[in-house]
Amino acid sequence: MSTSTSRLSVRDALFEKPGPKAEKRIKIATVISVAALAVLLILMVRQFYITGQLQAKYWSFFLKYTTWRFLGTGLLGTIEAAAIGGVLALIAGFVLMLGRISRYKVFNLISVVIIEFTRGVPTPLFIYFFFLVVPQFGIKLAALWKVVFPVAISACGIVAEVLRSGVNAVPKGQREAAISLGMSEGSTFIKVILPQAVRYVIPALISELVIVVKDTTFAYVVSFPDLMQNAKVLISNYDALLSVYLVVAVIYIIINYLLNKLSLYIAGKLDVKTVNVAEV
Amino acid sequence: MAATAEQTTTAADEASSEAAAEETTTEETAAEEESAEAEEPVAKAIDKNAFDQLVSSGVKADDADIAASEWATKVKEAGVLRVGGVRTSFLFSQLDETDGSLRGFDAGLWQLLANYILGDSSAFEITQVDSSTRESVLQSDQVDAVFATYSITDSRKEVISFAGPYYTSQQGILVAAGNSDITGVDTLAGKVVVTQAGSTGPDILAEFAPEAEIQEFETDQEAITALSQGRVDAYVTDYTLQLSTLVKNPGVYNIAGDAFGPVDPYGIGLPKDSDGVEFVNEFLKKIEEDGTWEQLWKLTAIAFSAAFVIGIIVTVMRISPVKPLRVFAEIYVQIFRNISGAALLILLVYALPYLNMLFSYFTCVVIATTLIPSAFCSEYLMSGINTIDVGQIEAARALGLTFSQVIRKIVIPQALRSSVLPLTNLLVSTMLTTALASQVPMNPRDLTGLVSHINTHAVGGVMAFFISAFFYSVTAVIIGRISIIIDRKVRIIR
Repeated sequence: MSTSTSRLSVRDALFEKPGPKAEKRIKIATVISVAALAVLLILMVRQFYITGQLQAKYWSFFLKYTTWRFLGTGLLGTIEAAAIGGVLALIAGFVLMLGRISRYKVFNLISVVIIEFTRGVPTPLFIYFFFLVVPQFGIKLAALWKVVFPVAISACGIVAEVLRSGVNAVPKGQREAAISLGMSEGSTFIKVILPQAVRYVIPALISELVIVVKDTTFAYVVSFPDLMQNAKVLISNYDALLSVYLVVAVIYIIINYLLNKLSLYIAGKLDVKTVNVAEV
Repeated sequence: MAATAEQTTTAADEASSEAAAEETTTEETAAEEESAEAEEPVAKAIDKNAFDQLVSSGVKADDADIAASEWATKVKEAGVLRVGGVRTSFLFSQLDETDGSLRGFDAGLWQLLANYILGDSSAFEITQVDSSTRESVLQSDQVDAVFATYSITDSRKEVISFAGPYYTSQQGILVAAGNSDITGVDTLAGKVVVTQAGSTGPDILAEFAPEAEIQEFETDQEAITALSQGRVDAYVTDYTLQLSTLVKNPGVYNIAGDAFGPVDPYGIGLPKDSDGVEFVNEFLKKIEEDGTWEQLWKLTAIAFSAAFVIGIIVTVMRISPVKPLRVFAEIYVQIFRNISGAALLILLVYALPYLNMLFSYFTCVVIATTLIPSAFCSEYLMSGINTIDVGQIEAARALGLTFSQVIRKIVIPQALRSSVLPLTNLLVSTMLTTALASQVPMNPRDLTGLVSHINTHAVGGVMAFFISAFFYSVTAVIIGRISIIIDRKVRIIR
């Protein structure tokens, strides 16, 4: 991947082979920083110990199979919501992108308004909309959809922009060449531009999935049984708030970390530059 | 609902048999708590008379309300009473897992009502509610009525209607059994007093015991745990709740002194048709009056500048020659770019107090909205740094610039210039993250308090949503446009 090599070179340039003096200084700094970090860690563990949070009762239930099965069910709920939300966002984003690059001013305008609107509004607001406002019109949705729709809506604007940046990244000459070969506008777009555009943006789309996963944590609002909701049940059963939330937070971090890694990996495979997107 | 005399009698009969059953269950437990100086209101709370009174007061409220008759017709047609209630409220509505039935004051009441309308006390469906969803289940027509130790307050009356009151309560002070220091509300000064966040407790304490040191916990259970661990001196909450704690744990706790504070009437929550015009005006007035938007911006400004500073520090650590610092900074970034805002805020607000680190809600929101953007800030700066030409650094070194000079004069300025767009995107997302807090202006409520707040104050209307959404997206668009202009001015074209 281009970024990693250039990072190395910037680093190399900054620290060309240190001389004996510099090496000594770096060693001292290493020792000091290790000590400081160790003190920090000890202080943290000590705080846990003092407040009795290391007691076996707060952690022993993590040894049980049922605990993990229950958390697993929650995780499946999270994944389900995130997957459906992601797919919906992709579809909606694709349609919005088509509108955004369309030659017709009307579609253009509509798409711009929707994209800017969905990008600028926080996800919780959409969730409340589906939780509080939609039922007032007599529309009854299952809890899953009350999570999926808001999450998809708040992601679709960014997805549209990402896709558009992919389309723009395809050199203009390719379209001109395809047209001059006698291909229609439509088949040029589908056969020439889109496959390349998608290739460019796959890493960025995966990073967007991270945002979708994060947004599903708002599922507790609509009492959809996701990871967060199941964590709450464990908390009240074992009276262990800190340990459960910590474990759940770590699970979220691992999932998203892996997704990010995946996007970098794919970016490396495809040898494309990642597109930067606003993230929350 | 139209009540014939005959029906009332059946209902009352049902009440007495129901109450008799209750009495036997509670009396045993009540006997165990002799040491407690409670004025045996346990037995009183669920006796025959109370039930009779209940029934009569219920009837009165219904007769007065004409809309209620439509409501009753609907229930009658459905053939089932859809109730919003709880299963874990001792004395009021507790699920007995041995026989699967719900017993208690509230439970008895809705069973009576089901019997009253449909002639069958078991013709009800229960939807579990908690303090933050009681209004919404009524508004969205998921239940016909809510029975859940539901205090009648003016703000709730705006959203739903109440029948009753059928019970009144005040605040009680729960202390550990051996505690003789605290004898009433006057002796709370200087003591650590815990109460339930989102309840009326904090306000009442501020009024009646201003010198007490107040801590807030999310649930009754947490507060009681804190009391039993000796982390706090007293727990102030609804007197009825205290009684049930007393009954469940004989000899462990005492109720200190008399009940105090404003009288808290419990009512039955019923749906109400919301009035669009009224609420939009109300909502607009609210935005102006309590300065929600100003607060949003204050929050964004604090959080973003702090995130920016931390982001720079972390970035410097990430490119430093000292390996432990690099590893630490890398872990820091990975943690905070991968945790969701809601999860982090929950951790800060609810988990840290267990480590004896209690921050105000405002502080927690600022910390959460700082940590997450700081990680992203560092990521953007890193990619900004990566765009710098290596030759420049080599040239600087050749000219004899020190490491810190290279960083300060060559690397950071250029990295900043090429990260204008991602950083302004970050500003927008910081603003969006503060949405977690902006709706709950500085009240130490829990996150779900957001929902209940919107529920009770802004009557979950379409307009409320759109006005709010409009403000958000307009600000985002404006920031975006400005950022493009700045970017054009400062970007280094290569």
